[in-house]
Amino acid sequence: MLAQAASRTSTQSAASHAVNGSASTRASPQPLKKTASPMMQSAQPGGHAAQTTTTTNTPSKPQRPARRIEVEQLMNDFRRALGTNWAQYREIITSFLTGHLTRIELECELSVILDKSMVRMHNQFLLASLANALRDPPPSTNGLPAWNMRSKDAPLRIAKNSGDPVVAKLKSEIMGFTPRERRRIKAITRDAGKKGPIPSTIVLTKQARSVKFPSVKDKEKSKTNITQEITQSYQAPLATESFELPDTDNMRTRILGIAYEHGLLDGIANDVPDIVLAGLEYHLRDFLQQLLDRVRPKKHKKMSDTTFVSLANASAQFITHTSTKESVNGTAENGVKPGAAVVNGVKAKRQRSQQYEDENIITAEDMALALELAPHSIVEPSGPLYRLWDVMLRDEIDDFPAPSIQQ
Amino acid sequence: MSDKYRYKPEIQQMMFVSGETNDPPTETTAVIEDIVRSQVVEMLLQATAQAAKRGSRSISIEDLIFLIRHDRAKVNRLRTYLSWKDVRKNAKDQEGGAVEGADLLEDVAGAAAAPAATGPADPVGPKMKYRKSKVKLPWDLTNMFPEPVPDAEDDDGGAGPDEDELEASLATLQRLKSADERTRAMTKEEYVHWSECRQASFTFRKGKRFREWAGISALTDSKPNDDIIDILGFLTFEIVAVLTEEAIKVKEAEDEMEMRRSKRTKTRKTERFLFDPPDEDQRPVLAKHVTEAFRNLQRSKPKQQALRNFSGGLVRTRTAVI
Repeated sequence: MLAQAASRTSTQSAASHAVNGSASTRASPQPLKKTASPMMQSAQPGGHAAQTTTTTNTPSKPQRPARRIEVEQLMNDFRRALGTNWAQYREIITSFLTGHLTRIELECELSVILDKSMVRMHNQFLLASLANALRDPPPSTNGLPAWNMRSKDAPLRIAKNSGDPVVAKLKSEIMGFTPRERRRIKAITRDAGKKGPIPSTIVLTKQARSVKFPSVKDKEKSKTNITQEITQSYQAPLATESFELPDTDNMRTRILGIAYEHGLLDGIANDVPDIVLAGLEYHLRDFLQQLLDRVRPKKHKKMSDTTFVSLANASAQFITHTSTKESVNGTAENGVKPGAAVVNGVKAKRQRSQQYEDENIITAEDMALALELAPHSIVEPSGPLYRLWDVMLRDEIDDFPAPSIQQ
Repeated sequence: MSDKYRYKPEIQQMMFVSGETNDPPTETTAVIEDIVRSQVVEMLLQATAQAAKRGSRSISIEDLIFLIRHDRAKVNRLRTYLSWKDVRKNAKDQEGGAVEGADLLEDVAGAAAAPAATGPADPVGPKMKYRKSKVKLPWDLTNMFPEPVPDAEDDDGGAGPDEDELEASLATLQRLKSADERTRAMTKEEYVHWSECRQASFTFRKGKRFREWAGISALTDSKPNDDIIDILGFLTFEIVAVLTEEAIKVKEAEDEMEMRRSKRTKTRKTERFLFDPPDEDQRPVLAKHVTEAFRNLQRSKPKQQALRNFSGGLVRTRTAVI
């Protein structure tokens, strides 16, 4: 009878398994196990195809992995008890598990369907399913049901008798691990312990900002001197602090510190700071030249009588010779006084524009405009640039242009 | 690195010819020598790359001229220089000895005045076949056609010099004019000194020294021939001349700014006394002027920048050949 029950279950490994009441009671720590064995008598096919039976009489050891619980029987009894409500019960549980119902709603719904005795069965059913979920899955059948499997489709099994006592001992130890442990051990590959490139910017930033002290192999180079140099280089004032270009000594301290940090323990030559300073000056002059080219008013050779005022000033006005002449002529008829005033005004304007050209001061807005036109003037846009753009005042009308009125 | 600066006297002479009247300090000549050497290296590298594109291993004359093709005045001057070299070589071969410079000049002038059609009726005789071989520029418009375009050397047939040619010759004329003005007031000895300085060259009769100084063996696989070295000598003279002119402009601009600043702060210059040291001599061209001049010459033209407007990205710049 037991063999019959086993063969009727839908697993292919039924042949080697047999139900043993004692084993089942021993294996599971759950109290509901005792209901399993009497239920086995009336095992029915159908339902979940992936339920295994409990195994044969194996000596109980505390490390043995727990076997799957026979939930099918539970479910069938429960189903019979619920009767027509089974479909509704199933719907409710499914929606609870997928998150459509809260716990309170679940209790509400279930209190309608279930009565006192069935509550216990419901608990058992759910707990059994949960316990099964935490254990090893039943051996897979590659999608084929048991009656369709050929011998070569069956999943491979490790030979029970290997003969070698060492191997047998090893095997028994390994089988003593939980399935999770065994899976973890199998997952260890060659690169298991090494962490790949950490994509986190926070970690990378921290690494970049931290001070790196080089490891000195040679006994000649005194380590204390090097670390002292490095700390000194961090104390040297930056150009943003001292508001002037660094001089040779400042440069040398900093360059030396950086060289030591990155492993160049031999120090630097004497004219290295000079070259770096020359390069820095060249770069700054280049940038300033580009800035001035874009922003300063230029006297065009062909249009010699026009003067453009600086681009970024909102009050840029086109001052032309001809227009001043016209204004002079126009008011000359009205009388000397207003004409003279106009002439004086015009002359004063021209003088002012000349003076403006001489003392033309480049503002931060000019710089922001020039950098917006050509961010590659300083090779790469970086933090201070973004800050400059963010700090600029904007007219509201630029951000929210009024919709044009269609007529 | 070799700190010994070997071309100081040549550079001083070249600077003298290009407009610098005071003795330049050692620092200035050192900077100029460094700049010239880096320019020579750059030119050779770019010319080698050009030759490789052509599929040839050795640098040819056209490769070098290609580098300066945008500066038509210089190209024309270079072609004139090369043609003179050719003439001298031909004359030497035909005369079989040292040639009188004056006779040569007369013959060439006479032949240039009358076009080749009138035939060589010069007193030297049929031996002197005047050939002014111009270097053919493969990228020129006349060479773009599969059939050879006849040279527009005769004045009545040709279209005449176009605007660019005029502009190019303008630069040359300008230089000649300033030299003219400078030498106008010179005495005979001064003029002799001037003409000696005018002939200063990096490579004339010092080919080996030049090759070693520039490190040519490290740059190219094949040994460049003498023509290349001559052209390099010409170009280096041009570099020093251009640098000096620019540096003088920079210095004058700086002096003007100083004067304006001093004028604004209302410190007037006191009366000039008789035994005042001369102002001019205290202000030779300094190294910083030269570096600033070099930076000005490396400025990229607006047309090269135009397509980069409004976009970012890393700009890869190349050292420009002056």
